[in-house]
Amino acid sequence: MKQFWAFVKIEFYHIFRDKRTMLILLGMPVIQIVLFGFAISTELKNSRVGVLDPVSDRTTRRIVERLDENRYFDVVCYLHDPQEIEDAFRQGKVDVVVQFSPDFENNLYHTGNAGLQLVVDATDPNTATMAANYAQGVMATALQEEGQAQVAIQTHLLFNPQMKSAYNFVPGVMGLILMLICAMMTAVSIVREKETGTMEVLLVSPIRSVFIILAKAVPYLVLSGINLTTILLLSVYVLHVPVAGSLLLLAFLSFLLIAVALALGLFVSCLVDNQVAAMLISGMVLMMPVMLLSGMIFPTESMPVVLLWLSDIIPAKWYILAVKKVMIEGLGLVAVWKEIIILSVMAVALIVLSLVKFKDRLE
Amino acid sequence: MKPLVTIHDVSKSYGKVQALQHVSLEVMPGEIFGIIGPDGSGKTSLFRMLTTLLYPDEGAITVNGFDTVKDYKAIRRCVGYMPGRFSLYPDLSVEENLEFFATLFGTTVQENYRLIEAIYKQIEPFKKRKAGKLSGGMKQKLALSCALIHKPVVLFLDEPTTGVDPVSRKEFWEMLRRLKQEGITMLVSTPYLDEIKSCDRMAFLYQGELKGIDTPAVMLERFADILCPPGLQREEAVLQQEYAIEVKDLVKRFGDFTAVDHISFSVRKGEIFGFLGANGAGKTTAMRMLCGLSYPTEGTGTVAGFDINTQQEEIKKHIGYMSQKFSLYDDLKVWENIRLFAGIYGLDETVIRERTEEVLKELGLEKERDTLVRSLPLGWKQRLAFSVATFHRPEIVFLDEPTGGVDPKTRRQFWELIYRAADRGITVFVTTHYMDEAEFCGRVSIMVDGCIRVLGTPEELKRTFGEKDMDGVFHRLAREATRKSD
Repeated sequence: MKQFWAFVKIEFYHIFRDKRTMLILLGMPVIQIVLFGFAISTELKNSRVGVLDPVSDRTTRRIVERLDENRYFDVVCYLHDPQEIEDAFRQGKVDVVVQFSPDFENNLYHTGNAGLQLVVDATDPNTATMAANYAQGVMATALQEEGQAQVAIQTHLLFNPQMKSAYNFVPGVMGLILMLICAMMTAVSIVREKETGTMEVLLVSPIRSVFIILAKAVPYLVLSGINLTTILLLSVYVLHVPVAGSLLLLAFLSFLLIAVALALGLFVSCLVDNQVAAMLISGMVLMMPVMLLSGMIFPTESMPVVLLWLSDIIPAKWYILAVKKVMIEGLGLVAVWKEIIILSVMAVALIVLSLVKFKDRLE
Repeated sequence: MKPLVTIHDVSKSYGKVQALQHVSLEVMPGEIFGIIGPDGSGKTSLFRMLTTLLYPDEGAITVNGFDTVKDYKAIRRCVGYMPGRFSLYPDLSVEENLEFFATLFGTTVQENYRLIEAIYKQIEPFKKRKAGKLSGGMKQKLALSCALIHKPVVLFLDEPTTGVDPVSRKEFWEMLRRLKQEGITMLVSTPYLDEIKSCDRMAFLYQGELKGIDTPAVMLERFADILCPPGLQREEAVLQQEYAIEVKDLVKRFGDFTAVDHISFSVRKGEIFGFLGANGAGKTTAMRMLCGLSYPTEGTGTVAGFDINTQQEEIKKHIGYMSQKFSLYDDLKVWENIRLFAGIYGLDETVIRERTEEVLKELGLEKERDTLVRSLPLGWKQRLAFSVATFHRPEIVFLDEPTGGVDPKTRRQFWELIYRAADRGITVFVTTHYMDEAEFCGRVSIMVDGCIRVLGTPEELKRTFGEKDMDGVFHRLAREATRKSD
């Protein structure tokens, strides 16, 4: 046992004495949260609206006013000819154009075939869909106020009425950070011993290899805990994403993912023997799928079926799903039992696999 | 008396590569048993099998009565092991390293302090320093202390003195002799002949085969053609009057540390100049200034007729450079390496083709033209690297420890190549840790603490100091050094 703690101690020394690594480890969650929260936001902000209203009447003015009042839309110009629409987009003056049919008010109240067209710049499909949906919502409300509810299409957005992206990426960043710190750092720290030649001496000593592995895991477990706390504090107080469900359940879920990640890191360390390779493998094989396939950035529902199968074997996907349920929707244990079982099975399987693979010899 | 270590008919291969073939030997308790052999002769594989890290493909090994396959846990409790690289944690201090290894073996530093006292006392003044910041010699002493801290019955040392300067090597062997008196059995591998002479018995490994086991005296005679080839004879070359290198009062300071302290010397065209000095004496720093890689803090000089302060780019065009650390691309074929370096120096296509044939013929590598450099023996690589460095017919070639890790015979072949280049009028500026090679030089200088302490022909120096070989001269001077760092 004394050997074990001596090991944990030097592992902490390794981390604390490498200032750059420590800064990256502790600063990364902050930077990611800030980046995703403010810079890489997929939210609508100040979409510029052009209006083409051939016969300006009370109803159309009312709808346009409503749009302008909304903080996500700014009416920037009025167009006079359908031909101008394309030019306005080409010159980058507008993001959305609202086009009313001639004699809108009259048709609305009498003939019932009033037309309203929404033209959206779809170069960025995500933003376009969001802008369209939200503009529709705003205008529908305006029409409703005019007592014309039966004409309007009703759109209702659940949980995230402004489609705030923070609700989606906070669980994503949590999954990403835990995966990165635990898997990559465990792999790197074991491989480093191989590189310095100390692994040979450790193996030719009476210490049991399971102790070596556990001692490597402890410091990163602690660091992950710190990171998890940082992320949650930032998301609650800076991004205003509340933790709706049980903190304890959230911690338990995170612990499961950490176990999976540690085992994965250990597994990687058995395969390679230099730090660069360990970084690359953890980066490419573990990180990219987490970013792209776990549903953190792109919704898994819209993936081709093959990628969907692939995404099923990514632990972070299940973690992110579960965290969304607990943290955002405030659901309890009953709602996430499936994810818990999947993560537990993965953790046990990987730990067994990597313990078997970790040899107390060099071959 | 029963042998402490027995190796019985052991073979080991990695895929197609046969590392060891039918090796058998026994080590008696209390013995210092040496294993000599060039790089790639299977020494490390043997050590890894002895320390239970690898399984033998065939045969059996016992250490202290335990089988390395079945009872490996018992062996791991009673052996000390120093692998080829210094197996220390560079970010832990001297003290922390020692304490960690003591705890690892379930003991404390105090318990066996007496055993390591003589060794550890030399590094104790630096006990708060990080192991990564120590010089090669001090790292080695720390690694030895760490391997001894649990009082092992047998100590396995795999090339413990590689990358360590001659003075530290001597001190290291004195420590091993003291440990022998403590009753510790040792198995040591080394590429150095002077070290193997200190062993009680030795084995000679060559290309995975055990060529023989006996006392060093007998072995050195039996394998004289490989281990002690006859000296090189060279007619005194007629030197030209012009100087290839001329420097005056060259100084290089890093902050308040003076790495090179007012050195002045000149080398004639066509001369073979040996530039010697212990690690940390300032050789590399001086050489970098001569090659145009760094500016001198003070002083003047010319290399190949160009000013080292102002014409560095011109110098680079007129010199060749080869070092042990970087010379060829392993993943390129032989001809691709030649083509690449020739291209870097802007040689003409037809010239390259002609000279490539010449070089391959001279080296006897015609058949290996399309071989990846990776799969060539180290000695061949070194000769190829030399030919590549002189391919563009430079006026001077700088060689930084060009012959590390090969047997004496192969080193001799390398020097034949140097002589041929010198005969063609190329000036050779060479650093080496092998003192027998120093004897091959026209003139040598020995640096101590940043200054050139002596300069002259090997004959002159030996006469001045009344020593019978350059090794003696070198040690006498190197012991004067007060500076200890890499």
